[in-house]
Amino acid sequence: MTSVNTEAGTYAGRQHDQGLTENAELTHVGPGTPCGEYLRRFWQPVEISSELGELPLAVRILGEDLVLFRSKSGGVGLLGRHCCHRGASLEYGIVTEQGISCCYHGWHYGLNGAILETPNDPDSRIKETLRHTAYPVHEYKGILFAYMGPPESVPNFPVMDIWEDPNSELIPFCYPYPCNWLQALENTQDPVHSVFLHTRISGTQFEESWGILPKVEWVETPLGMMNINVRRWKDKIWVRTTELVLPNMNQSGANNETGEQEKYLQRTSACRWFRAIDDTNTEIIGWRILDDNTEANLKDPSLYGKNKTPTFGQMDEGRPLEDCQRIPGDFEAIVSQGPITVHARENLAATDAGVGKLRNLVRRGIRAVKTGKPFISPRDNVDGVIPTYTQDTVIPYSGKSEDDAFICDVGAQVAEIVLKSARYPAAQRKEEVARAVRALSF
Amino acid sequence: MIKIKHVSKLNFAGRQRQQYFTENAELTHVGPDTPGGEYLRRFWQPLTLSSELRELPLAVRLLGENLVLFRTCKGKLGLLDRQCCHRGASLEYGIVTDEGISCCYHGWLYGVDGTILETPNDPTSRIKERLRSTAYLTHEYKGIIFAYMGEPAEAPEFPLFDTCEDPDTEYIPYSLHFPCNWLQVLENAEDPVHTVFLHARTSGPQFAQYHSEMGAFDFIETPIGVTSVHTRRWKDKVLVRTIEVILPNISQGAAIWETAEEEKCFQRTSGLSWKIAVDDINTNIIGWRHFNNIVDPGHRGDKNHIGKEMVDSYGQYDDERNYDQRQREPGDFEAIVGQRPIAIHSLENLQGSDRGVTLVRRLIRRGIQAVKNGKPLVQPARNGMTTIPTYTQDTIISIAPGKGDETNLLRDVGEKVTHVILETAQFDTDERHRIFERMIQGLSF
Repeated sequence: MTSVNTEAGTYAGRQHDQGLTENAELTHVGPGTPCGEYLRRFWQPVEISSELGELPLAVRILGEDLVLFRSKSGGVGLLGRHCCHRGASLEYGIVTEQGISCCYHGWHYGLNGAILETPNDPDSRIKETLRHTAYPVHEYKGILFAYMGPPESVPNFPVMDIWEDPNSELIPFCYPYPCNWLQALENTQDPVHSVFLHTRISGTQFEESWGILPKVEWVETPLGMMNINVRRWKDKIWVRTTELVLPNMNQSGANNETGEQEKYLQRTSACRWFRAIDDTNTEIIGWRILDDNTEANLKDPSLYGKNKTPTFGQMDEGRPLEDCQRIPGDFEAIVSQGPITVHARENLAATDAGVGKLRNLVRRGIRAVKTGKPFISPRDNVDGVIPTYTQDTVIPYSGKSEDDAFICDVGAQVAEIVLKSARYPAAQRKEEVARAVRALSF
Repeated sequence: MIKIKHVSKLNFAGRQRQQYFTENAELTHVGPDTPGGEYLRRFWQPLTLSSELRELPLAVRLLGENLVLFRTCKGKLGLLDRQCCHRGASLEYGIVTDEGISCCYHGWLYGVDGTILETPNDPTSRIKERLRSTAYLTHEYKGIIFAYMGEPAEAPEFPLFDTCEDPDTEYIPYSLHFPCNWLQVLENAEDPVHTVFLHARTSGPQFAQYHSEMGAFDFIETPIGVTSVHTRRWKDKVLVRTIEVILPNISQGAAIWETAEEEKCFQRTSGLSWKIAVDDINTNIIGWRHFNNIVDPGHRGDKNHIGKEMVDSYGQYDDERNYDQRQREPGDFEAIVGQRPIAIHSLENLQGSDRGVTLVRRLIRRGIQAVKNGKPLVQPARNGMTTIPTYTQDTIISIAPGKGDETNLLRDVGEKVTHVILETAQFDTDERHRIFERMIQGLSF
């Protein structure tokens, strides 16, 4: 007879309350939800331009079913998907010079939601009283953006400094995540996961120096927040700042940065929005930024596009489950947190302070919109472009100090220089940062 | 300095409607004990094509109920609750016997009337004396198996429509699945103006050229439902086309291949079909395509392309076309399914030309209320004749253009022909045709 495990009494049994639910205020995005209304105050990417051909495209944004199309005269329309006559889907509509007409009874809509014709009842005056849901669209560097907030307060489309760098090329890409937008975004303010997920867990996915547990601080920026990530690596001190532009955009440092060469204010290699399709689906849309710093094997623009990126573990690449289990990437980690992460079941550690701060900033924005108060949005510009704060600076250091306090101090001083340099025009900023960093004494 | 182009702030509408309006449950929900479901259960409803039922039981779903259909070894049809009332195993895995069907799991044997004939796992149990399985009446007619899911004692006579009993017509049954509510599929039949757009102007003529003419519309209540009257000029002819809904969920279209080039008098239908709810968001169209030399003199119909999930006319089902083709040339299927899983009436903006849709809804609501309040319900009746008279037809009259106001002329022709259609319904088929022709000849325009 086999004896029962006598240590059974030491087992925990079921520990967590399964009844806990997600934080709806921060995660739900449908029309009329607090977070949904907040996200609607900003230009949001809809689709990469190359996906929109001559036929209308059925799209879903923030829980709304819409149709995106290009009129014959070249304007882009984004309308409620269902015709307001009898609800047929405008994805089967006919694109016209001025807009789109429904296949079922021919109702004709302008890009701004005006009903131009009701040919099934030509004398009807309904077009004078009724309008169809319509959102303004802006096309910029191969991505179509929409503004879905109150039409009377459309903000200017914010152009960031990095996007207008004459020496770089922006290549659009997008891919879906079957989970809530917030957890996908949070990953960008959690630099410590790079040490584990991307290096120690299953071998180096990016660069070896990423395996050093960095000193991390999180600070607010005029656009949101950034983390300051400082490492001692060989004879250098490497300060990386990775930012969040509220409410749902991230710019990260170069994927191939090794921290071995001296450099100042080297900018990002990608800019991405975490755009909610609905509560449990997210589209990551953005640009890969190609410049002199890009590795030769990643310079081919055809590597990026719809459901396409050469960067490891970023999307559902169709890898077999066993592969994903042995070498999980960001996609596996983030989606596996559940369709909507339940914050009440988490146990945040000190290195998760960025995640906490991010949630606080998003909550603050949501409540500001709810109560009609001002909220952070990219506005202040220098020569028409908005300064951003993502960068890598690598400083030569031959001293012996391994003191945490010392490392943190270097990081804080570099970060302050980066923040202050925002007042210089983009082309001048790198020299200003280099000058100021070199002037530091340690 | 970099110059940034700002977005022009056109007068955009923004979000216009509350996204959370819901469907009209009274008219659209069909499950047991729902008002709409109880109403639909008072009529014979088609289940499936006879050809679909072989020697094995068939799992079927109708009005939100999971059922099993089978033919006993002696050839009798049975329609029972799909789940065995012993421990719920599905009778689709049961063994068909001489008397009925026995469950695969513990052998309970059911008769076609729901009687429990044996409980072999407990042979002496007396449960069979007090327990019965759900069992509905069935009827097989022209290749279609029908069921009556209301109170069996109150089952009406199976309806024989005049257009379904023509000895010179061949009836080929078909069945098509629409992934949406039944009502919006039915409504399409009383919406003649959609033919002008969807079937003609949207992506070129899908049927005949004259479809692009708007003409004049009217909508008339008939003793069995409602008919649209669509009167259009085509060259030197005026065509009066009527398309009817027979309550609660039958529609009868006119001749598919009509070209309006020649005079016609009371030409009947190319097909009659039920829009039967599988559940709230799934519908089967089950009916017959009618073949005879009168409705299709050019023999354009294709008998070999009619049956389970296929029919020989454009855009009527989830056919082999890819998404790109559907977007370029949408048919009824794309338009109707695109209205959402259940069309939301409170988000619609109905027009004058949608009077047929509102009339159908009103009549259905009236029927639902009658059942709910225990009032009498009108069933299609023969009134002493051989068959039930119906009202779908085409009549084409030569009238040269250019004589006075065209709109008034079309209205006048429509009204007079409608009068003849209704007036002649008191006569049996052959006589009706004779009298119809004589009355039309007596008209002058």
